[in-house]
Amino acid sequence: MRPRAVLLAKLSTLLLFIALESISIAMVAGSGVIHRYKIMRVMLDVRAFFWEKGENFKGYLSLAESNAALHQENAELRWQLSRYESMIDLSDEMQDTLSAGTFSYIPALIVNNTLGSQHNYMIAKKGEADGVEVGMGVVTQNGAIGIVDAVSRHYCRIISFLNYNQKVSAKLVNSEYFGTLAWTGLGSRHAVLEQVPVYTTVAEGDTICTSGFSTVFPPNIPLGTVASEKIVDGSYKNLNVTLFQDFKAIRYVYITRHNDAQEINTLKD
Amino acid sequence: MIIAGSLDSIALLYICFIPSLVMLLPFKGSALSMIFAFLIGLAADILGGNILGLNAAAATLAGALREPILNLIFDKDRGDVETLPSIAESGAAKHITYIAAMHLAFFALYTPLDLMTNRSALFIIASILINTIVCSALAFFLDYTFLSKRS
Repeated sequence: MRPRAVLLAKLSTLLLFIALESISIAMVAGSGVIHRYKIMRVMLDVRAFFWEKGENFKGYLSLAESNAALHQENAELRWQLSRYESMIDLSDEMQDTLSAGTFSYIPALIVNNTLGSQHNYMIAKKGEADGVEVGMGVVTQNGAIGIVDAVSRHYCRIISFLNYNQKVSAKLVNSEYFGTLAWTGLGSRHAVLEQVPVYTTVAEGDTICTSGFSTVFPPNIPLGTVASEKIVDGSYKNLNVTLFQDFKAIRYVYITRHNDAQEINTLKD
Repeated sequence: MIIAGSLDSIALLYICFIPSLVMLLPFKGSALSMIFAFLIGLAADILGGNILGLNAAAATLAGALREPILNLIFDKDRGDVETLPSIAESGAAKHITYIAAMHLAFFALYTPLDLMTNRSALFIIASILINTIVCSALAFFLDYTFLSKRS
C-alpha cells in the first residue's frame, strides 16, 4: 500500500474506534444517573483541560496587547500616585491648590535605541498626535531615560541619558542635598553626581533619585546607588553612581508631562 | 444468601467469554475486529441485562488492540494466516501472554466503567488485575482443553 493509503486506513480505523466508543459510552451514560453524572464529570474535566490550554495559547498570542494595556494602566496609576504624593500632609485647602501641579504620563514603546556613540538617542512610538512635546522627560521605574528633542506626528526622538549633553537634577534619598547627574561615557551604567556639598555625609550604596527641581522629571524616581565618592577642589564632592536602569534592555517607557510646565517656564523666562 | 450470591457470581462469568470471543475472531485488521467486538459486547449487554454499553465499550477497545497485540506476540509465527496460531505452533507462553493482554485490555475499560460509583483508584486497579488473572486462567484452560487440538 502507498503511504497515503496506509495513513488513510489508519485514520479511518481511528475514527471508527472513536465512533464505536462514543456510542458505547453514550449508552452507559444513558443507563443510570450515577454513571451519567460520573461520565459528565470526567468529560467536563477533559473539556476544562483543553479550554485551559486553549486560553493559555490565546493568552500567549495576545501578550503584546496585554503588555500595552498594562503599560497604559501603569501610566494612569503613576499619574494618580504623583497626585496623591503631592497632596500628602497638606490641608484640604492646599490640596485643591496644589493637586494641579503634578505630572501625567504617556506610555510609549521604544523602537530604536543607540548605545555605541557618545551622543546616543532613542526613537519612541508616540508623537504629536499623542500629546508629546519637545522638552518632555522620559522615565521608567528604574530611572530617567532622556528628554524629548524632536517630535513627528506619531514618533519622537529622545536624547538619551547616555549622552554627554544630558544632565539630570538628582539628590540623595533621605537628604535634601542635590547635584547634577551626568553620564561618564564609560559603560552604560556609570554616572557621576556632581557638585554635592563637601560636608554631605554619603555612604556606599546610598540611593540617588531625581530631585524634582525641574518640570522635566518627576521627583523621587530612583536612579542608582553610590559606588564611591571623590572630593574635588576641596569644595564639593563627585559621587560615582551605578545606574539601576539597564539601557540595553529598554522597551517600555513613560513620557512625562508637567501639568504646569508652561506657567513655570514663563516665570523662569 | 451465600448460595444466591455465588450463583450471581457464576452468572457473571459470561463476561470472561467476551474477550475470548474477540480473541478468536477470524479476521485480520482492526476495523472488522472492532465492529464485531462491538456487536458481541452489545449482545452481551442486552442478553445479560447489564448496563447497556458497558461490555460494548470494553469489547471495542479489546477489538481495536487485538491486531497490534497479535502482531507483537505472534509476528513470526503468524504469517498471513487470519486465525490465531495453535498452542502447538507457537507455544503456551505466547498464548498465555496473548490471552492475558487481551483480558487486560478488556478489563482496563470495563472495570472503571462498572465501578465508577465511589471506588478508589487502588480498588479499581486491584479489580482489573484480579479479573484479568481469573478470566485469563479460565480462558487458557478452555483454549488448552478444547482448541489446542485444532491444528
